[in-house]
Amino acid sequence: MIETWGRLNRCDRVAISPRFRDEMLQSLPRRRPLIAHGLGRSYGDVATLKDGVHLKTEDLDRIISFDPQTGVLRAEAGISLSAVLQLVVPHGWFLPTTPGSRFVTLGGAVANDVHGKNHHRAGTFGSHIRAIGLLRTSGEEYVLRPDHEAGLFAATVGGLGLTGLITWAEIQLTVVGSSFLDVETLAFNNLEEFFAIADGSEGGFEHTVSWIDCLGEGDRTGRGIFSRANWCADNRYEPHSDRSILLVPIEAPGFILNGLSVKAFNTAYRAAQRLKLGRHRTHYAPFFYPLDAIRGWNKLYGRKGFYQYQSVTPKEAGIGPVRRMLEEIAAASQGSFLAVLKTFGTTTSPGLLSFPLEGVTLALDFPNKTRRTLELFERLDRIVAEVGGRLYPAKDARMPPALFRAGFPRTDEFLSYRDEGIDSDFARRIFK
Amino acid sequence: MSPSEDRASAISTNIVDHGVVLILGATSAMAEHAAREHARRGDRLILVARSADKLDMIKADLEARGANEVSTLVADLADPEDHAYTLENWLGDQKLERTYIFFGVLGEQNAAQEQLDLAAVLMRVNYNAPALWSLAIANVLEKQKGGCLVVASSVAGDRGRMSNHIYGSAKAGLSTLVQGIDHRLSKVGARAVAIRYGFVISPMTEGMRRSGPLWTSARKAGRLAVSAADKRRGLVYAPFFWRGIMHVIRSIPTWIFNRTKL
Repeated sequence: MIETWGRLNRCDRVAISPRFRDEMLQSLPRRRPLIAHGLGRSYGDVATLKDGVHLKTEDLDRIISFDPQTGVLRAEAGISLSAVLQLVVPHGWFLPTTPGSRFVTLGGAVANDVHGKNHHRAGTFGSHIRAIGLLRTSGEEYVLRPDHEAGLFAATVGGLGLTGLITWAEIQLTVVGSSFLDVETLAFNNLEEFFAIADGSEGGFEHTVSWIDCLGEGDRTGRGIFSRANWCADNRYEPHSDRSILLVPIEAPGFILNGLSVKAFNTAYRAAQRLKLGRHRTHYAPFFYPLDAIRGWNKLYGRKGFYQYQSVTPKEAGIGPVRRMLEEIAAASQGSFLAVLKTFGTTTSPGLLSFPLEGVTLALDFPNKTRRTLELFERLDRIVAEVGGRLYPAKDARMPPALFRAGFPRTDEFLSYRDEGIDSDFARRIFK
Repeated sequence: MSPSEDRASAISTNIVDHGVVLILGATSAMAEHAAREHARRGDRLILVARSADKLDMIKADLEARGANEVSTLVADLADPEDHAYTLENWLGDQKLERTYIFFGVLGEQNAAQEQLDLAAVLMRVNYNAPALWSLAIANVLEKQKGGCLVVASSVAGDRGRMSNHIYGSAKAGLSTLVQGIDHRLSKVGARAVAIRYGFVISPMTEGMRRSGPLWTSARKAGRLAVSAADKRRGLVYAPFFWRGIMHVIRSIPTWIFNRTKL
């Protein structure tokens, strides 16, 4: 059973799990397209393929080399960022940037060119890749570097696994002074205040993120909690433990996440965050990966699953599009369970299809209410398209091809690098 | 200065101070995860398997994960010349602290019951070979008056059934042999343990529909081998709940059991 994180489309699919890099193209059914599949944290359909073969990378999780002196790590594509951290944190290193879950694979981080709370400083994950091992289904093997086979490198970073099988990647880790962070939490009452705090924080804080209360209306549209942090310098290097609470072993009944409970959750979350306002010191695990502590939280959305809608709108467009999106959501009374707002910095992403661009990104979760939800998305799409924004493929399960084309102007260049033996449900939907 | 220079290693103290951990069938998924657990502890490892390339990939990984020293040996374990002599060559004067025997093949019951030469291969790989290695290693442990032998067995040996009784009978024999070795070693302060695994998601079971609460990952199965070796002896089940399941399966009267097609 292959599931996506949004659990919209679940069924039995053909999967193989090669144990070694040199076995990846063996024992494949002939003439069937394939797609690499890691830990299944992509929300939508970038890593699934109806009628195709899912090449699961879970057993390709070996470290090839790690130099504790230079912080250069080379590992197979299926290793999780969690395992990387457990290896490197005791030596004083950390991931150059990290997404909101550590249960993603290295290959997935490359293929989706993921970003994190330090985007304004570090750029995307792809900016820290020194080399990629790429195996085309024709059997050709490449070692890609930013300055060697640069075209295929740029197509592969953020290339959604469509340019070949990523067999390994080499990244430059970053030095940290501790495994703990000094975190400061501030409340803001509206979007103007958010942008003022964001502007004032980017110079002095490595990590920034904020949570928005979707239910605020009128002059409280966009009220929320801003969190900003820097690494401590106490030389305490404690990796996280693997323990997590299995809170959600089975899918919740649909009514759990109705409007009322979303309201209650948002109020409670806001209250809890307010209690913590001010400064405190915290380990990297709860700071970067709060939801990883609850295994299977995605099942809270019940049988029908959920959508995530993550957009970025360019800096020039300013505050307007975010405000309009929040107003549309409030008007549709489809409060998002978790809404995350963050400004992206000026660093250019290295991939032809990388998502981040300078501006502001808004990520929203919506329980799947079929037509009602999809209609809301169409209204949000219009706002994004109007200002030249784009949606994040790793989170998407439904964007119209035209919106993708408009958002990613280098699509045609990318398509010339595709591996013909590889396909995905996302690619079929968008590039048809 | 690099951040790693001014602090002590976070690796927990190794249990094997002077001795060595020997893994036969080291390229199997379960073996590799057991080896990672020992690497994390900073132990010294000797890996034996057929493929040099695969051993090299695993060795690099284990060294990065903290193993003190990893040596690799290419050998066909099902077909050795002289077990005692080979072991002596591999070990030199190192103490054999722990041995894991992880090789085996599930095979095709239907094909093997038609073509008996296939049945003979299954019996040789799943019983003769690991049994002879177990006896050779028992002799070493007896002489050094310490150490532990760990052999991967299976719940398939607990009750013969139509779908895998050739494989199952080999595992039943192997479990009994290791249990007897443990009895023998108990007189000199050494140990042996046969681990009867339930359903494990590994290349051996590729192609089966492998989801549900009864299935265990190769990662967990490997870790369970190490923790069984740390403190258990004789016969154990992994995961523990298979003890109850197999108790029930064994208790089913034959006239009922024979109506199933398990």
